[in-house]
Parts: sequence; C-alpha cells; structure tokens
Amino acid sequence: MSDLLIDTETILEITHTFWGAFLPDSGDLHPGSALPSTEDLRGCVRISGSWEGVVELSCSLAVASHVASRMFALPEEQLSDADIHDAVGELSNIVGGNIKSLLPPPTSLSIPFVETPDTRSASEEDWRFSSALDSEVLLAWHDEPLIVRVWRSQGSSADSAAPTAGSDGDLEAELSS
Amino acid sequence: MRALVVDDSRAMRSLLRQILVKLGVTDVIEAEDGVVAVKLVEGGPTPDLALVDWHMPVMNGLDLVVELRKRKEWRHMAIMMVTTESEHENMVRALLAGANEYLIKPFTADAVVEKLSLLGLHLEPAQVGETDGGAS
Repeated sequence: MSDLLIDTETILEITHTFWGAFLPDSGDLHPGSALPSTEDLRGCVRISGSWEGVVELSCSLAVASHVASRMFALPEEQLSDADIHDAVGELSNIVGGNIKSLLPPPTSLSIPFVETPDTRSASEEDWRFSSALDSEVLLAWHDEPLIVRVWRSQGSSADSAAPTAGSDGDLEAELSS
Repeated sequence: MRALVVDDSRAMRSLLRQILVKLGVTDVIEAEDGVVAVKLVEGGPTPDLALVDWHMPVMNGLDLVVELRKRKEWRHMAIMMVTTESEHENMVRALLAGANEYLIKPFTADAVVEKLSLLGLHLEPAQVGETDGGAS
C-alpha cells in the first residue's frame, strides 16, 4: 500500500498559486470548512499510470462565473453555460496537472470533464464507487465554496509502473529513428 | 507580429490572447487542437510565435510541434509550450521535438513576457493611445 502522496498543504499551495496568477485582484481564498456545500459545478481530470485516480474541483456557480469572467474578459451576465464550464474544466486541468507532476512517473492526464447536478450520469459516477477519497481541501472565496478533492482508484499503487496510453508513445520511436 | 494560440480550452486561449494583445500583438489566431492549428498555418501568413498546449484531443501539442517543424518554411516560428506537463522527461521531449521554450500553467503575464524575451521577442505593454502592434 502506498503512502499519501498529495497532502492538503500541497493542494492548498497549488490552488493558491493558480488563484494568485490568474485572478490577482479577486481577493484571497480562505479556509471554507464552515460553508454549506453548493457544488454547482464539478471539473474532473483522470490521472492514469503509476497512480490512478481523479482530481476533482468543485465550486459554486458564483466562483465559476467569476473565474470565467476573468478568463474571458467578459461581464458575468454575458457568459454562456459553455463558457463557465470551459473555465471550470481548465481550472481543474491546471490543478490536476500540477498534482500529477508530484506523482511518481509515468502518469498521464485526461482531458477534463465537467459535471453539474443535472448532467451527472451513472457512468460518470462509476469512478467514485471504485475510488477512495485521498485528500480534500475546502476553500472559500467571498463565502462561496471552492473544493479540491483527490480520489484514488481502489487498487492504485504508487509502486506499480503501468504504461501510459496515448499517441505520445509514437513520438519516441520517431525521434530515435 | 502574428501569434498562434493552440489550446482546447477557450478560456485559456482567451487569457493568452488578452496577454498578447496587451503586449501589442493584435494579430492572434486560435486553434482548439493540433489539426486545426496546422490548417490555420497552412492557410495564411506564417505566425512568428505559437503558444501550444500539450493535452488536446485529435492532435496533442507534442505531435503538433513535430508537425510544425517538418516544414522548412515554418522553421522560423518560435514555439512555446504552455502546459501543466512538467515531468522533466516530457519537457525534454518537447524541446527535442522543436519547441523553443516551455511555460508551466498557471503563469503570470510577467512570466509570459520573460519567456518571450528569451525567444528574442521583447514585447512591452502597449501604452494607451498607441496603435502599433509590433514588437518593441
């Protein structure tokens, strides 16, 4: 069995780094453990390889809209649902990618997928049934929740060196030829 | 100067465009994956700069870099990876494939400026009232 590889302090640092870099004038993120959970949107990325699991970033619509407004340089009232989902997906991609960088190689990162309470399907929920919550960080921005969770697939081990999938493997052969 | 931004996230493409425009680069074209990027480059003036994400559907950023470096007429294009991919081995792969610089997400606008200066592109925020979109 592997030790906890991604502690909450690390997740905090990654999330604060993103927030400070992309939303420098938005005010800080604070511990949000006392907030009611309004996880309107959930952006997820899968990590595969020597470590298997999902990094999930959940937030309220207010947080998501603010992030999207800044990234698209649009007033919130002009944002579409697709804009907001895209921003949440990219946010989860960045947090997940930075977490992935801390894991023992080789690992690969999926394209992010974004869920809402209405769009969560049974198949999307499947990965939770076969996962254990490794770490959870509860943050708040103006009393609105921003939560990062790391789910480890059951049976995942940091010691195994599973081959990664994807087209990148073809490049190695090409470069060496 | 003409810049190409390749990322499957519209939000990220928008953010990068904003940074480039503030630096005076107003000719910015966008693509959501490597295939679209190649078609854009084939169909117009060759960009001077390409900002390329790694993880994209259809054709990822690494394969795009390989493709862009195949053509002699495109070899003057500066290519900077803009990605969360920070494994040393993968960074080396990108540079061996032909990327000139590497920027890890998240990044600040200052980090973009610094990286672009390493590429010989010394850009400064455009002053209010200026209309020249060229590099300084």
